[in-house]
Amino acid sequence: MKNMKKILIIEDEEILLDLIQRRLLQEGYQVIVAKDGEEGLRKLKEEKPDLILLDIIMPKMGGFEVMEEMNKDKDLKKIPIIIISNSGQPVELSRAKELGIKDWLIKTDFSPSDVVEKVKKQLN
Amino acid sequence: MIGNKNKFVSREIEEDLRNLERYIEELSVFLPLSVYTVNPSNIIVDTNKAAIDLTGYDEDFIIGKEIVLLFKDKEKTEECINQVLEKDLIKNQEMVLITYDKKEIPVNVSVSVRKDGKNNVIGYFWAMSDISESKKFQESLEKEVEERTADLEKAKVALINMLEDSQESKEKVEEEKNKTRAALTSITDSLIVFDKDKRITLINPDAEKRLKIKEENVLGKKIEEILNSPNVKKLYEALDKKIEWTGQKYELILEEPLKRFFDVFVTPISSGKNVIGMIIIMHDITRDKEISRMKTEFVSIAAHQLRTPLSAIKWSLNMVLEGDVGRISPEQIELLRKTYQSNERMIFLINDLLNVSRIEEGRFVYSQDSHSIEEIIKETMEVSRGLSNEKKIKIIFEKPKEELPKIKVDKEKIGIVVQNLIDNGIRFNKVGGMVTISVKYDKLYVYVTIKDTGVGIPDLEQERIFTKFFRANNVVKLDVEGSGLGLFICKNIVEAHGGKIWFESEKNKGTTFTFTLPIEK
Repeated sequence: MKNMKKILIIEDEEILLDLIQRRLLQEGYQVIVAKDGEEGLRKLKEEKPDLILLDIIMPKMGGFEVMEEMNKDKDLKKIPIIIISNSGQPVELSRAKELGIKDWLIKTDFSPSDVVEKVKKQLN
Repeated sequence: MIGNKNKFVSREIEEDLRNLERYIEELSVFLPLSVYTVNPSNIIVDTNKAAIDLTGYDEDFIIGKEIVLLFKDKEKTEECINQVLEKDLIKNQEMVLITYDKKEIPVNVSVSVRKDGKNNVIGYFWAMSDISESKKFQESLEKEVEERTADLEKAKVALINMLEDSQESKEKVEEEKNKTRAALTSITDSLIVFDKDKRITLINPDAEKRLKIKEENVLGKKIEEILNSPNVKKLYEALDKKIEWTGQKYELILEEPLKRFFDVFVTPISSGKNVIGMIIIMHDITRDKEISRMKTEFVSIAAHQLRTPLSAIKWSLNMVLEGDVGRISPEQIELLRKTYQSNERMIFLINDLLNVSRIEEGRFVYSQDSHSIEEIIKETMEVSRGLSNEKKIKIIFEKPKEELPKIKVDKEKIGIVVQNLIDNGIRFNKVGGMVTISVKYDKLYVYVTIKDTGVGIPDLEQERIFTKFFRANNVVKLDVEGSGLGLFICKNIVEAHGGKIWFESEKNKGTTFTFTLPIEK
């Protein structure tokens, strides 16, 4: 395969998770999924993905907490993160920027293809 | 001799007597009193000049007539006749004389008995005096007295009425006072009423409760004298330490036991032109605030929750349309494209609602950076291209010749403003119409003008177009989907940037919106 980069999607909404997963698989990425922050944190430690697509509001552990945990580990800290969120409020954005995110996508404003584009941009 | 002598004497006496009689007669001519001499049978035997002048009956006529003839009241005359027999004299009987000319004259009548030397009654004297003048005088006097009495009576009645009126008005005042007091005490706002010297004259129960004071302890005192009560102190401080009518609304927060918010007003009490007191009104807005917060929160949560399924629909449709999940027929594509557009519209409305709730929560925070307004307009025009093609409306951007100064704005939010104004220009235009965008600037502001050739805003509704959920009548007919939030959001965004927004509109000719943004210093 030309593209075996590993992407972790952490998203609690099953249908969205499914749609992005399909789209990324089509593009030839290796995809791992997690349905909440806790599961996501565990999997990213195990799998060491090349990029994370991260939702903010999730059960058990939210996106910000996941990022905070990652920032404590110098290796995990390096993994690029693209936020996929429902909202995009300035307060949230600035907090996320401080935590070192690469991009922020508002779900209603983008399509899965846009997500793929952003992913490609980050990984190239 | 003696006989002669007697004869002589009697002749002398006779002579003397005659002289005396003549003397009396002559004297009686000058006597102002009218006198009739009557015999014991009440037949007139003599009269005098005064009597003739008064009654008009001459001697020839009246002598030999009965005295009764002279008077109107025959019975009274008979009575006098009878009485004088017993008493010898009756005085000042008021009677009415009937003259020869049939005139009636009030007279005062006195009757006395005539006796001879042997005490035999030989007749009577009837004396009369005209009392018509004095009677008139008396009558006028009486009339005057009567009138005066009537006046007095009237005055008395008036006085009584006045007293009654004042009693009534006093009662009314009392009643009004009670009513006012009842109204003031039952009102749910807190009230403190001051007199013209700013002394407390009333505190209603709500104010007692809120300020934790008792009316009886503070009546007649100035607010400065009761600042030892913590809540009164807070109120006093909220009012900038004065009780004056400024037309201003003050804010007060009291924290016992729960936090409560008040709008405080100071209003003068006027009587005519004079200010006779002041009222402090504390209106509890805690609940309003809470409801408003809950509403905003509800909208915010609902909108957020709606976004997830809307995103799912959008993404699914997008993938199907792009052929990611297999081939679909052109008919299917057409149908799904329309569904996709409806979904986009829904997302747009939800975004509007969210923006409004953020504006109301005061969370519509701006990340302001230096931007070119030209770039923002160009990018927005691209977004609106689809709609303008669909509606066959031309969008023209009259680019300024010189370079525009940079402005410090929240790019995304200003984009919302421009897009809303362009979209309105397209949506409410006529077929083949135009939307023209132009920009100019002066020392302080950049002016963005968006002009359409559309239906215009009806005169009556122009005042309300920046209000939330407002949609003009003619617009509702053209486009059923609008949220009525666009211009409200625009206004809030522009004003939050320190700019202004306004419009000019003519029905069926079009509308021109202009907004300003301050130039970066």
